[in-house]
Amino acid sequence: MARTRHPRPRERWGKHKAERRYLQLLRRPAGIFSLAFLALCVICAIGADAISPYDPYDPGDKDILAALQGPSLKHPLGTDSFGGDVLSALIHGTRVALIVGFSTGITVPILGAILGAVAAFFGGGVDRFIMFLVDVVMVLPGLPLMILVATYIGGSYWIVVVLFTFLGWAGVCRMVRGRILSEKAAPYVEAARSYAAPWPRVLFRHLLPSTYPLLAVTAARTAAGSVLAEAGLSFLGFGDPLAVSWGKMLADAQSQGALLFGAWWWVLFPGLAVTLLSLSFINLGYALEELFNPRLRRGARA
Amino acid sequence: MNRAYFARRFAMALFAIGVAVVLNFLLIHLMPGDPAHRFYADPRVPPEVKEEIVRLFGLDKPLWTQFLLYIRNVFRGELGISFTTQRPVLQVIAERIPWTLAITLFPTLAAIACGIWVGMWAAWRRGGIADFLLRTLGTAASSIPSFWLAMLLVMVFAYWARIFPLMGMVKPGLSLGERPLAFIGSVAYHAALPMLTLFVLSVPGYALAMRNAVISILGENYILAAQSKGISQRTLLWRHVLKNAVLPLISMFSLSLVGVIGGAVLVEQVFSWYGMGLLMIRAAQARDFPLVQAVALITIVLTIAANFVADLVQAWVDPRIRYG
Repeated sequence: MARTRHPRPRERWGKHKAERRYLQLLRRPAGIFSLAFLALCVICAIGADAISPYDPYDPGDKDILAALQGPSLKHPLGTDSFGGDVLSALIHGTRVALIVGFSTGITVPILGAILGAVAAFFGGGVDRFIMFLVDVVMVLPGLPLMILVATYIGGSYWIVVVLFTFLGWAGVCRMVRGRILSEKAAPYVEAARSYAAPWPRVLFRHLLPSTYPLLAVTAARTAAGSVLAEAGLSFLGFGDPLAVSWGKMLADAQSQGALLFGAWWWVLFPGLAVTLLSLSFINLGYALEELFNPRLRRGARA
Repeated sequence: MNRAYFARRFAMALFAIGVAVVLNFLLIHLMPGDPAHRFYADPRVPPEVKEEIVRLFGLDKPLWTQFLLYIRNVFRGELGISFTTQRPVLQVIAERIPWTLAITLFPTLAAIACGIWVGMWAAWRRGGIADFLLRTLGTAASSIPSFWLAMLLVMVFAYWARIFPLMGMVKPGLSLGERPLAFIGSVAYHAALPMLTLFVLSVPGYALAMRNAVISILGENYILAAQSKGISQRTLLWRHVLKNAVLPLISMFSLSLVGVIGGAVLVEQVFSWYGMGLLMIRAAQARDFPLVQAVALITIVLTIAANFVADLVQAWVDPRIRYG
């Protein structure tokens, strides 16, 4: 008898169809824009030293005589109060933003998926305990906690990653649990159980893949949120004091009176970068959602 | 209201507060170095305050005793003495709470009212220009850092247009006791931009939630029945749809508190608005550990308490909720 492959939910997306769907991501203007901006950020982060016209980490590379000047040919996005090039700082700032965004985009869905899957699969006391933790974590305010931790440990963008993971899994956990609870009764799960597949196999091989689309969307949204949180923490002066980041640029602009001198370029561009990166992640989330859930596509998305 | 539901929520709130308290305690003691030494070493602290701190926290006793002492102190409301001001932290914080409430409460309530109206409108004319704008701006608003928007508003309204003050809370020299009306007026004038920032950023969230709720309700049978009676659009929306559509907003309100508090911290920093947020930032910068800890603890406890109340309100207005 030929070896029959047990049905897996993953096979609902055939390889060829999947390829076509990924192309659909590029059909929406928002999708193209967000992918392009993310690509630009990745290029900037990797090649920051080669691309940026000045080195924001080198005190000697500042144009003190040209301090607080608006956009010009020499400094396309103007200079800060020490004559540092805003464009160069922006380019180097992509590193912190992307590290934070991608790290939390990976850790939060993984932690949430594991806990949510365990809660739904085992039910009973385990389920109640995990959902209790979810309810507790959901009401803890993130920023005051981050400030508290930063006060003791010292500023670092890893605080954002760790605390975002610690606080962010709850929402994912709730969604994954709901999905797996509804999937648990599906015939293919029963089939897997009927030939005595061990529970980790049923859980991680059969049930968890049905939540992958959900997790991809969450990853994008989490990344958007953590980019904003990192910017906020750096703005308050609790970021990494040695790393150039967008939030820190805005903090410097605020503390060194960019608003008093009307240095709009020093305020506008870093904030715009944060907004666009976060928006790109959110749009990516929407696009992925549509990709995986064709029912949304017919809805009136003007 | 179901008693079991109440008990469950209450246990959850207590446990969340417990987590915050333990976390707070652990943070002091997991740090490298002896906490007693750190307290002693701070030159700003006079000797009698040091003795008070050692007595209060039992810093010369074993860790376990210290933990129990800490719990006892928290329940008694003795959260320590601020290094920088030499006053009980609770007193310092109590002075700041009204200022934060002033710039968060009004914008949030206004945003809910405005969100209900905008959401209703967008849902009624689904696919129209208002709907499109709401969804585009709604996505954008969730990506805009609150402090950046605040800075831009300062740039436009205070630097260029010179309509509003750059920062501060009240005109120097005014006091509430002498000229209450002028004082309140001056505070409102200074609070305009911070409030505008928080208002602008919270409207789209409520409006979007309202829109989605209204759209799903408009498909219900009882709406069809009401329409077939021939009632006016106004009665339909404001009497039949509204009641069920605002329910999700209540839970959204309780969950958004967490975000409002974070937003307030950032906005207070931009405007030098001396509320809880700025107090915490300044305390953290001055390494005034008891004050930072107490602000964090009180913020967390207030958030949890507000969530608890919001949950109860929701269970009260929506009898369908049994076990959340």
